[in-house]
Amino acid sequence: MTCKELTERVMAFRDRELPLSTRLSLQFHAAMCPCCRNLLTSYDTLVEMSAELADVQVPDELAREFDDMILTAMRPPT
Amino acid sequence: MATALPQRYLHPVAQLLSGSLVERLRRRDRAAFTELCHSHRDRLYAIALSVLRDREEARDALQDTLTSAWRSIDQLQDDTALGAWLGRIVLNHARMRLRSRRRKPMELVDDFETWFSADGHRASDPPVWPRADDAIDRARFANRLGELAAGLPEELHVVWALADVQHLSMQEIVDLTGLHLANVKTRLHRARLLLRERLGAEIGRPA
Ligand SMILES: [Zn+2]
Repeated sequence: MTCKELTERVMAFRDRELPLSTRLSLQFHAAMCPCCRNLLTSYDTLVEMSAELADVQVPDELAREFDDMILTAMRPPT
Repeated sequence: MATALPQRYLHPVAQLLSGSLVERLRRRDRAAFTELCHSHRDRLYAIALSVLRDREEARDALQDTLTSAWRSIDQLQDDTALGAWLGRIVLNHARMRLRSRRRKPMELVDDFETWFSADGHRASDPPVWPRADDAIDRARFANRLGELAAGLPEELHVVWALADVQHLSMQEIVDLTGLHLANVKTRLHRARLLLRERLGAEIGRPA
């Protein structure tokens, strides 16, 4: 497996969607290649970091005006 | 959900009383619409915000969504999945706003092929990321990640935001975007690789 082939398969590897033989050759390549080891760990870090961007709460202000927004939506078009 | 008897066998008053939410909506029942909006509020706002990353714009996209939903309510079918229907509307509005936004000059380009030499090996060593357990300023990096993501091509950005920020399942994203599953996965992977490369160039150290 080349670096390029590994790069194309990182997501499938993470999601455990690769057949065993491909999985093994990927792991073998990564063991030999610092570049690709770096890719595997940073890919995970990136995915974790992205989840931190989620804003879980609806702002109070929006919650307060939400009924007005619904009324606005139901108003006939002008 | 569905009533036991087909609607035409019920007395009109019984029909009115027995109506499912979809039926009530198709009759333009304002209380039903209000109920619908409230039960989907948080999810719709979250989708808009994950795509737009701006509270004001997400709020406006939500207003557009409610307005479009009320106006197109006649198109609902008995078996309409309301959550998916509203989700598609909000995603469309969020995408329209995203497209109309002035693009950043440093748009991330999909230069995947150029990272490798002809034999498939890395042309140059990419920067090494700090380890996840290093004492790194994660909040700052995450913030920068959000900024970089805004420079992704729109079709990659949307899938990335829904999957990695909003944590929707692959099937939900397929339903919302109308893309094939394989396509969703490819886009998500491309987006991640681009972001990783770009953020790595800023926070990593040379290999
Ligand atoms: Zn490699």
